[in-house]
Amino acid sequence: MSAGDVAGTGTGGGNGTTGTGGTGRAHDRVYRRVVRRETSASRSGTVVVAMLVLLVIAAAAVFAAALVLLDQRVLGIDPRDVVDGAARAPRGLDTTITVGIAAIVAFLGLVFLAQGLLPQRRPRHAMSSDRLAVVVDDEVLASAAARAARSATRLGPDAAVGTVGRRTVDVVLRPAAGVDVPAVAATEAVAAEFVAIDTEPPVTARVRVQPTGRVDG
Amino acid sequence: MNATNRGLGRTALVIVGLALLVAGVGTILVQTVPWASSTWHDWGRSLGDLGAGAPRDASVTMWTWVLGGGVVLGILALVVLSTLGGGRVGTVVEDDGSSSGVAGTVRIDSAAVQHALSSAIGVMPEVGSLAVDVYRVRGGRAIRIKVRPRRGASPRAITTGVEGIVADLDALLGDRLPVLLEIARGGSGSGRTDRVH
Repeated sequence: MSAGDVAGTGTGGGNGTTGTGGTGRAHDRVYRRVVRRETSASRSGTVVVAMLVLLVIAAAAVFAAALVLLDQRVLGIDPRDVVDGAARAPRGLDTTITVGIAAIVAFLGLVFLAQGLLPQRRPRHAMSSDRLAVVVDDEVLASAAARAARSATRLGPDAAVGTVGRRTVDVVLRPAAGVDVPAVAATEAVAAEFVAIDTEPPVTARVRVQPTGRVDG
Repeated sequence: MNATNRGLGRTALVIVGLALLVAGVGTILVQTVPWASSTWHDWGRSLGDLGAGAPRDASVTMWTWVLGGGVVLGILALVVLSTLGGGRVGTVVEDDGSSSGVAGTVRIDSAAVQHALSSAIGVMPEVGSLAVDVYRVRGGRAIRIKVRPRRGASPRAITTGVEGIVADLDALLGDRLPVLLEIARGGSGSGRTDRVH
């Protein structure tokens, strides 16, 4: 965003040019951070699950230690015997059950690791603006593209379907049988719409007319 | 936009994931591969104090360490959980007038800005429903406007309209707060097509 073009208007009255320029630069940093957070997926659900797993393990350790220190046993099991049994592995353990449980644990660990390390995007685009930080869901862009294509062709409301990828927008037109569709005009309308929207990263428009016509009202 | 510490959360995920993966794969190897189980038996001798055959004193010492470790682990998990979410604040501007030398405090509540923005943006024909919240971002305040547009509405038209309204808000507050406009899918009113006007 440009701070210079509003500095002279003095909306705040007292603190003129220097103050406005300062907040402008600070906003740039805030906006970059906010847009980055809003366009990448939140892992908080996975973090909650992982921390619950950790809490269960911690509670089991505390419980076992308390049993040993108080010289108690639960269901006839002493935690010290469990440790002895684990130290003697694989003797005395059923291979199928042990490997099965271990595989589940390893898979859970792999899921957590992937969630923590891999980048994940939300289906969203950023939009340019002089004053605001703007993020748009791809579904909104798709429906805007479908509306633009429809308005250029005068088709019915459900005859155009838009799909938005990271760098492309596809619009499929399904005219009723026998109706001629000006595909070039539709492509131009969608392209003009997306030039106006000006997303980051930019998307290129493509319009296809489905050759098999529909028969309906 | 909330105050979740994402770096901390991802670090915790990587550590817990790595620990579970190593434990699971290790168990499978010990159970199926002979050399892995003999290595495990070598390590197993250091677990002797945790077992049933250990003398009482050594056993109490080791299990006290387990108890302490469990408590520390649980507290760490609770600390990570407590960093999730939050960051919504009740005031937008708080100025004690120290820059201009006038005594007294000016405080503008979030509710004032929420009502002003909601009533101004809500009458735009492209907008189905909206929510306005004020968050703490990097020590400052930031406004989040979440708009659910009607079907087929142009995102550029919404952005231009909100830019105008936010410019009015800037003039009102005398301060340019960072504003996030989030144009989201779905929600009430989004099924209806754009009103004719």
